[in-house]
Amino acid sequence: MSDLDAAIEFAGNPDPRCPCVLLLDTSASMGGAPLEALNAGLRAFQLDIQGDSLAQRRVEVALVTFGGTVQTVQEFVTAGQFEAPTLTAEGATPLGAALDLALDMVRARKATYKANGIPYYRPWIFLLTDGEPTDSWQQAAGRVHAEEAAGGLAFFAVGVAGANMERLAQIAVRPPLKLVGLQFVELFVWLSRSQQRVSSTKVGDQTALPPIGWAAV
Amino acid sequence: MSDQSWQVIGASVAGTAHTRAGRPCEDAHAWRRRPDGTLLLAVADGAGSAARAAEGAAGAVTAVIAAADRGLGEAPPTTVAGWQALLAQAVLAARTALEALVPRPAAALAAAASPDAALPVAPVLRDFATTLLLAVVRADWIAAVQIGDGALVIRDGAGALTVVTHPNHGEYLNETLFLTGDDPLAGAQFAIQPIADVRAVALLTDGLQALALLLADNTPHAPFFAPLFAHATQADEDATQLTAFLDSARVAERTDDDKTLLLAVRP
Repeated sequence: MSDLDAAIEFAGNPDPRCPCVLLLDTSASMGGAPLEALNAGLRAFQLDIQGDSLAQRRVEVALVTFGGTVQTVQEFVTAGQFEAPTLTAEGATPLGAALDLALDMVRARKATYKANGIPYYRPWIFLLTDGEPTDSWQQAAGRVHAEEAAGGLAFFAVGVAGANMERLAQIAVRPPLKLVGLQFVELFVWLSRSQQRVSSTKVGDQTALPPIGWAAV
Repeated sequence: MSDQSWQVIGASVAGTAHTRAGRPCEDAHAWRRRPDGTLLLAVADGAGSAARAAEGAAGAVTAVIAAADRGLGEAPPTTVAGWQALLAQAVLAARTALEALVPRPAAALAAAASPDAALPVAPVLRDFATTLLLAVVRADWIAAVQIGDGALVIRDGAGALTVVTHPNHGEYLNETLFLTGDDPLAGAQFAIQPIADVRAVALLTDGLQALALLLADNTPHAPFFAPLFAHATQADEDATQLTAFLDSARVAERTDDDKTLLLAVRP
């Protein structure tokens, strides 16, 4: 380190945060191979994002599952402290209720940032399902549309196996993507890389995301 | 004030996110000393999502300095309104310079109509998106305009630091205003004020904001600026050490954005 390097001190500012809610289908049909692959994907996400020193300080991960009931498996935690859970499958698909919860979590997180003077990036909600909602979903979908239009969040939907892609297209604003096979690991590594880009690059209106190799065209 | 009294060093260094993505540094800086002793300084930060951001930033700083120099003509303005008009016309001239990089509609249409299917897509103005900060410095007066993020900090003869322009982003940290927006002057920060005895000036792009300022209230972090101004005083206009500092692992630990620092001191 040169004399100049050694002399200069940096200001202490809080790390800016990039909040990301993973909204994951754990209904009965996900049981077996799909859930094993999903759990492997979450471990791959943890490994990849914790390899990036800035992203692991800036990205905040929350995890909500919907399978029978809606469960908050992980409240917002800094990516560096995220431990991939082992999820189990059961029940129907209360996607609407889970979506409402995720939207509430994002709104509350932004309020926390503002109250504490923490700068932040546009929040993500990332929805994964292999079916369609078995509960009432239209109001939650309306909230997603309103938030997207206001620039309040970025919502991504991915369908697995027998997912009702038309239903997903009604819920999401961006066209939903269909996972090829059970390439959860590829999907979650992509998600980690996308979060790393969002948490680092200064952009205007759109982040250039990494190429998507895990979705069917 | 002789035209040799200002010592200037500047450096723009690519951030680690850019080098990882194979992108060049998309920050730029430029300066000019006028015979009457006025110092013109400019920095720009090309938007990460803009395909030709490096050209946008470089074009903007070159054009805004040239336009400000022309606008100053024989003598600088004597009123705040006069300074504001000069800064505004310099900003608009810089935008015009970027517009000149975009092919005219007729040429773009002709290209699109060609039977050659492999033509590259013609650029649009948005591809050159960049922030811009221009500072016009005299011994007792500073006039600056800033579009987007970044900051201008000065030190006076008593050693007091002042943040003249400060970071300006919207709700999200990664969204800011650009020179290429529809109305670049809307939302621009103008700072035109007499300052007793300006001795040191620093312009920085947003990669360094969090290191140089306390962002909660936009106050300058003195231990960041003091060694840098001291260095500029005896660097003999050699930016080698400044460049190495911006490129250091210590800085990369805090930011992976491009970094620009333009320093001027009057011993």
